Amino acid sequence: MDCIVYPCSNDIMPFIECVNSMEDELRITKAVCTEICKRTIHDTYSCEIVTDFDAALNEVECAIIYDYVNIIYMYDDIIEKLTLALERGKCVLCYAALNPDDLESLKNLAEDHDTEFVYFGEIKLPEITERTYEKQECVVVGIGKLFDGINSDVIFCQIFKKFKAEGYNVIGISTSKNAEIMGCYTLPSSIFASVADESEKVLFLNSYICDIELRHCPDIILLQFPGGMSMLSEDMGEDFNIRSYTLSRAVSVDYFVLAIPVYVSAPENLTEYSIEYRYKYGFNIDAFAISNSEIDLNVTFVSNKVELQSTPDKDIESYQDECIEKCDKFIFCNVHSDDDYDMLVQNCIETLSGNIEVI
Amino acid sequence: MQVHEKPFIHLYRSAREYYFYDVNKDSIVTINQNIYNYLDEKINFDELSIDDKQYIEKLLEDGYLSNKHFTEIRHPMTDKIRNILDGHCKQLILQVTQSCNLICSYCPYAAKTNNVLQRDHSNRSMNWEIAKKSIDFFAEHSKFNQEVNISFYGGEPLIAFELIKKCVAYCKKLFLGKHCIFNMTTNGTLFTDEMIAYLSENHFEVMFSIDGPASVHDINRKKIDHSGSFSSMFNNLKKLYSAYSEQDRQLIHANMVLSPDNDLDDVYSLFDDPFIKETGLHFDVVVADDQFLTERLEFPDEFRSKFKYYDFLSLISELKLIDGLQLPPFYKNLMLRLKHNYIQYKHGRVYMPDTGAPGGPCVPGLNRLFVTVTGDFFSCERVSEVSDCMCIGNVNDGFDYEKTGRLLNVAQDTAEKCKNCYAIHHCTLCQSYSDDQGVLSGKKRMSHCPSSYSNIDNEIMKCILLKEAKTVYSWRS
Repeated sequence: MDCIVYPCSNDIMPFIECVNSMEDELRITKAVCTEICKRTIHDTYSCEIVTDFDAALNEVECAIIYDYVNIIYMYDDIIEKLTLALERGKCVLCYAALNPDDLESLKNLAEDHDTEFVYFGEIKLPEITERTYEKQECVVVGIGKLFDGINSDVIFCQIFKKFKAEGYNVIGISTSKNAEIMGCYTLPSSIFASVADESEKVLFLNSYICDIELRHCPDIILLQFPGGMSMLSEDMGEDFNIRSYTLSRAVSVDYFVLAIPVYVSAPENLTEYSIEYRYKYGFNIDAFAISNSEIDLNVTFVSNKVELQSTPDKDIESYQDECIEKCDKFIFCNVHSDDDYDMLVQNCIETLSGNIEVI
Repeated sequence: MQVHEKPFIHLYRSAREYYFYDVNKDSIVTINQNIYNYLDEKINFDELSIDDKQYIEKLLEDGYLSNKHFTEIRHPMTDKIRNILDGHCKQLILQVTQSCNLICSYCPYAAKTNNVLQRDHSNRSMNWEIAKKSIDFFAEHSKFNQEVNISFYGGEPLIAFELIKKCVAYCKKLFLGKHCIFNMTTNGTLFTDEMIAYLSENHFEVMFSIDGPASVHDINRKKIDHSGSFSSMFNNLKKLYSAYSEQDRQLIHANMVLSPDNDLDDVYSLFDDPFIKETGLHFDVVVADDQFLTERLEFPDEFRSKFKYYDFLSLISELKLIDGLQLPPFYKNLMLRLKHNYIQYKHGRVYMPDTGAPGGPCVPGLNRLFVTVTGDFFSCERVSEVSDCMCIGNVNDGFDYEKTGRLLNVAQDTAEKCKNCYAIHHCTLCQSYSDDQGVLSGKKRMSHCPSSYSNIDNEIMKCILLKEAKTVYSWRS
């Protein structure tokens, strides 16, 4: 089924790429974005980037409304687009959270036009009856980011795609709702905001992951960690790494990929992060994925919050070369290089294949 | 091990203790009197005790007392300025009009400067074509940001209310999907019910200029007919506050300018006003600036003493040495800033690179892009609009990268002095301090160095006082 997505941004491009690379019944042919957003989107993707929602809608059977970081600032526009799609009898998959009243009217509108409206925007914690701590049987590959603000979605999507292509039964648990379109689960992030005791949260997350494992018997669980995992200084942590720490208590990670900005540290010092993570989270870092962002030190120290700015791709290559030359303990991957992900996934398979299987 | 070369430090002493500020480590170190005298070249190394010598050895081992200086003055963003300005600009400030209905005595635009230092008020307003071009330019040059700020500045921006409405409508469409924040700085005297409803509906951040209660405010902030402006401003403030939703009320702020002819006790009596007390309105406070005035502002000793006294009160209040002190709420923020500085000086930095620049100059156009009624670009609204060297482009030709680069590295004009200046990391001299009637001048920049030294010395002495209040004065329970 041919689909369009709206609103498109660089953030959701990895998901679109992943969906289109998998032989699935959904095929995203056009990504619709705002005029201003189009200026920032690279045109090397598997679908056409357009700005005219109305015209694009006519050419497809389905409209996908993605969850978008700034959805609150275009809510009325989203409702308008949803209404238009349903009125035209298109199937709609909506990942954006809607107000109950709007949701109800859109459901009614879908009924009136005899079309399908599938809503994924509801955030509710899954019901887990038994909360006992269990160790995962399958391999768990973790993906995290050094600081909040670094995008690890592209790494998640690429690794997910590569493992699938290698023939593994891989189940993804992402921090983004948008990953559900790839058949992945969303990490129930609302648990972190709940008033539950910290140990309760760990048990809940452990049960959640084990429940997914039981249902799908995957070879690999690909798990995206929420928030930043390190702090630039002791008073500069968005959540003081609490969410990632809580999740790390709930799962045994076998291979870990950390997204880092360019020039974050001298290559020879990256080992220190791995040691830190061993003691803090209970696993080593196996690979670093270098993203095209850089810490804006001027703003960071004024605002007391890690601020990143995008850098040209050549900076990634230059930092990656330096890291490879000076530090042979890790895999260094350019977030935009398909070949690098092949290398990373192969390294992961080789590393984990060497583990002794006890039973 | 003795210190062989002159370390890059600056010595400080309080009534009780001795310190040095280490430029390389950007931190303050406590020392004893002997070491102080040794570093001050009053005594020789041999005259120090074994313990003192060992302490110096430890400092040297840890990287303190280094004599390293920057070998080159070069702003770290120099090579990236084009890339950054290409899509990361954060705030557009539109000078929608140069007209104002007030003639404030310390206002650089209202003063008769004969256009040498700053423009005068005029009846010129921005037209839609320039406004639209500015917004389009900003949209292109902020494309990577999820949040954009559009500010309306004057003169008094409400004089150009119709243009503001047009700009807001255009921005809402153009920046769809981005967090678009609108704000304005106003003297607060021209609000109508329609304006209030509009600002509330569009969640405007509004900054009122309030200098104190009527008796103070009306001394300087006068209407054309020389009557005071407090009454109309304050009524409008109350109206706007009522019109805003509870959640949005935090978007209303005030800016207070302290001028030499004010008595601080009188000024601060504003905070006894029931409305100000009840709302907890956020205030920023600045001292009147005479940079663009032909006559220097002289702050009398009484003003300075009271200023320091309030600082002292805020410190002892923060340290809970005395309960029940009633101080203007902004002192809480000043204390927070002091504590932040204190922690910074405590932690310091690991090392100092070979190249760098003084702390003052910003990346022109990045944090603020100020566009005049005629479409000229400046790095902020506080620089001289009649100065050629401060202009960084215009709506038709875009950024003048040669000029932005030049302004970014304005400290290269004073490189030798800056390299050896202990205040380099905390220098407050932005580009405008080099502006000598349209030409960048190192000499002009250096004429402001004493104020920069004074700032850092004050800052460090306050941090020392904070430290001693916690440690030396241990008579506290």
